[in-house]
Amino acid sequence: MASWRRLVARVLAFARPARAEHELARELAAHLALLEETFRRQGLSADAAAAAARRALGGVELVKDAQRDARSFRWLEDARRDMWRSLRALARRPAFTIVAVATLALGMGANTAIFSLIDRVILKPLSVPAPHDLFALRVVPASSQPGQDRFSSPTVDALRHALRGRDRLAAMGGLARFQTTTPTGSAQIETIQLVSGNYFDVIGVGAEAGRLLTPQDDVTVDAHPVAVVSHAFWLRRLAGDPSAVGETLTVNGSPLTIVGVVPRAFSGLWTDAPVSVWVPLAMQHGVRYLQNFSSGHAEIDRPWMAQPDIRWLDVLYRGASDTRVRDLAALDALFHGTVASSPLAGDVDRRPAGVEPHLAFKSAAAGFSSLRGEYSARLLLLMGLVAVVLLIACANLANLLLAHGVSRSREIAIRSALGATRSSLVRQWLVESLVLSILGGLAGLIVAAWTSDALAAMTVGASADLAHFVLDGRVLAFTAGLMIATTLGFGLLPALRLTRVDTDALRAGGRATAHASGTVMNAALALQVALSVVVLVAAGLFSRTLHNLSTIDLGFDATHLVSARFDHRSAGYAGDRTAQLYDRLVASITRLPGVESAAAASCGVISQCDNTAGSYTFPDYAPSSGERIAIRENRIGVDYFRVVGMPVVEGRSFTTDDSGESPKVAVVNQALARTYFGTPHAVGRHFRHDLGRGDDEYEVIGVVRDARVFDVHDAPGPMIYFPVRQMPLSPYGGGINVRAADPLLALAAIRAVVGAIDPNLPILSLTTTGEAAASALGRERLLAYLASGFAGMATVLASIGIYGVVSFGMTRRVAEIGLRMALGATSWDIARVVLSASMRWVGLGLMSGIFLAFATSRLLRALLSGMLFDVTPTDPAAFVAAILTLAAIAVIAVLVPVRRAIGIDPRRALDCD
Amino acid sequence: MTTEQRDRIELLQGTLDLIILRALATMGPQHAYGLAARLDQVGDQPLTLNQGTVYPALVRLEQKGAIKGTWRQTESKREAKYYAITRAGRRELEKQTTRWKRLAGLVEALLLAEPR
Repeated sequence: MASWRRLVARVLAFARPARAEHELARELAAHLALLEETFRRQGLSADAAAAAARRALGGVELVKDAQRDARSFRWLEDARRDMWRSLRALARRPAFTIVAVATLALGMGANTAIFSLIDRVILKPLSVPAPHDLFALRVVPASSQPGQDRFSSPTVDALRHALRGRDRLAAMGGLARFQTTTPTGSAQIETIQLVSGNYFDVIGVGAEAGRLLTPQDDVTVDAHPVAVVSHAFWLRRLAGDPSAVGETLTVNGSPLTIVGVVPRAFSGLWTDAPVSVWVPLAMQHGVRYLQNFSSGHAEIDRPWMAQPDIRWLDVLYRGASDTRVRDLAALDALFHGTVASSPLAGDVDRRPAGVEPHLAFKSAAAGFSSLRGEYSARLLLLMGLVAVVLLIACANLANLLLAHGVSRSREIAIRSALGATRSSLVRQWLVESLVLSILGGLAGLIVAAWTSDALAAMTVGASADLAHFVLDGRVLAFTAGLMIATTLGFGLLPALRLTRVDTDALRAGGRATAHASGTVMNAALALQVALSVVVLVAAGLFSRTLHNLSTIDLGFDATHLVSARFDHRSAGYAGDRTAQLYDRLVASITRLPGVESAAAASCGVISQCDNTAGSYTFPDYAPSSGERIAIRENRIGVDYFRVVGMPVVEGRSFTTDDSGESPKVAVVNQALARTYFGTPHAVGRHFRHDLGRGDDEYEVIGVVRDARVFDVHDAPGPMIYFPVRQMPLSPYGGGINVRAADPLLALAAIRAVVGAIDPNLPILSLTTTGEAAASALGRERLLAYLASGFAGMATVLASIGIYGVVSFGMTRRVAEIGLRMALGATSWDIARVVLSASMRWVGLGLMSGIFLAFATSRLLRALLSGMLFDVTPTDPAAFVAAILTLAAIAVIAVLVPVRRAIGIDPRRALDCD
Repeated sequence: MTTEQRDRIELLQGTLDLIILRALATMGPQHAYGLAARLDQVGDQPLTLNQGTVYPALVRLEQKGAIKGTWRQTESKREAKYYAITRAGRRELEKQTTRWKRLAGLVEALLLAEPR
């Protein structure tokens, strides 16, 4: 009890030292007065009594220290005193402090910004209870066909049964974009997910308002017209009105009753695609959810709940580590027992031979993200790069501290002569470095907050939830760790070096320390230059990649082009009605003012939409054994080539005469003509394309230029175009390309036209092609911009570093220079003296930098090759540019100190020191 | 700080609190000077200690709640902080006295039993 009480008292005494100090001073003064009185009474003079009183007490400061020791925590008090002393010392040197803090703020801010982005995209766990107990059930090895690893409803039921009623498995469909109409009549496309009734129980969230889904909501096909909405949706679309619970929400044409609101913390498992509305799985047929599935022979339009051939569900599992192993064994036993007869059997042959497929848990603790795969490696590479920049900043600061420390070496010598121990001197230096780090880190947080949002916007688009910098405990912890690491990084070496004082130091006036420090500083400079080379080379490689990709000839005219994609299947279109819909859309859009032409296509340009089909036979092409001809195809309207500006190099394009009754025709690109016909002149040639309706023969009527139509990154491969009048659009989705004078203006008009023709037709995407091409380069832009930014920082730091070291070297040789001048040295001689040592080290830095960059890029060759375009990791131009930049910077940085050295007045120089 | 000094303080650390409590219990409220003067007279030979030594002990005891300090006037009309023992302090004194007596008895017995 008493010891607790004392602990609290000590903490309080530490927190408010002023009062206790005042009281102590008063008490000691009273004590001394009483002692003096006694001594005077014994006959001493006033002065003698005062001295005797002090002696009897034992030294006021010593007593105070002893009392402080008992009153509070000595080391804490010491740290605080060191902290204040450091702040005062830094305040006396504002220029140094500002440069140091700014350097650290940039370095640490950049690190914090990248970390927070990595944290948001890759690391951060979902804010649900025990996120590390959440897993997705996967089949390994994964099928070679993406999307084949989903489970059918009957399989999920069987899996759940295998866990014998313990409700740890939930199921969910993929994300859908559906037209959603609120009770007030406002209609917007929202992200919808179908989930099993126990989904929210397995996730572990409760309702913010109303109730969430229960297993009773997910029993009978089409009999549970209920929906749960996200907190964001509730605020945005329902005005945050609690009475919205119970109202009707129309999702893809089906009226559903809103039964509850999910808390703000949970917006689905996809961190980059927040879900707005959750609907029971049983409503799959009711809301016409007809996507994200793979099937063998299935009836897609009948409810999927009972069909073992339609694989459309992802399985989510929650279990603590002790039950996990047992549950997986039970699930896997079931999977193996039924695999031969299960619908998964068809996939087994698409997996690597000799590996038995089995089930595995994949952690869902951090949710899923489509960005993760795309950006993980790039973000980690950037983290490495930005860490190198911080290392450069540390080397720079270490040099600054050394230079300043040398000018304080007399102070250090005096303090150590007065009895300060080496450890207390080192501590004082480190505390000073720590204070700088803390100031730099705090300023860095501001830098991070500014830059992180811009970074995220560049990476994931500004609209996503994770685009916003959040100063949470994780980011703070990272920055705190960074503060300690940088303190040691730049402070330890100077602290150890500068406090190594011998007895001669006082006599030498710090010159001995200066000499020893000179070598350390030059070495740090070389390191800094070497690391800068690495960063500059990286920036060069990524900038060249971005340049190559953004100036690449796409093979069509992307300016003035708009690309739209629709999900007509979800809106209930099939067969002839689909063709009529697109005819109407094209006709109405073409009539819009400012629109030149429009054409339908199953895949628009740069839409990353890919229809690849097999079953082709070319008369002059013999496939090698095991080769399966698979060719990218597009089904297009009459005007398509004119609309997208893709030149027909031979033959003709489609006309309205190429219809159902006329002979079957196709247009191919140059790559196909070369590959499968062995000649660029393929017009008039024939090929077969078996669609299971009898062997159909097609005639090539035209050859178009090769174009990067699907993705900027992909080199154009063989492609075939069919006219929509002979080969109807895919039942799943289609697009329209529009050529307009002002594509940005056209967007709104097109949206209005689509809304007028069918308000329930989901628009999957509607962008200008220029924008689509630009956003397809988001990854490259992120790398190029950031690496260039880092390279800029490294260059600035290098110039400061070179300037600092050269002018330091000059300052400590002022007397020598003066002497040389007095002896008749020319300006050129002086320049050589000042430069010689440092330039040797800069040269050494450049050389090792080239070697380091070369070694690193060889080491990361595999990783880099996916990130570079038309540039090798050891691109000579990038290396030469890096070297030239740094050499130029070095020349500029040394001009000032060299000019100052030449201007030295020999008489005054010889006087000094 | 030399080793010799350190030994002396450590030796006194436990006892000093006890002596102060005992002095306050028997003499009533005292200021630091009064207590220090009292320490000078403990035992046959006076302890040659600085008077400042009492301060860490005083703050320790006050933080534990064993004593309480208030500012008052001395007889010579000077201000001084007078420390008085609290009820908790008396309990502590009793406990520590018993402990010390037992310990002293034990040490004495051990020293006597030690064969020469």
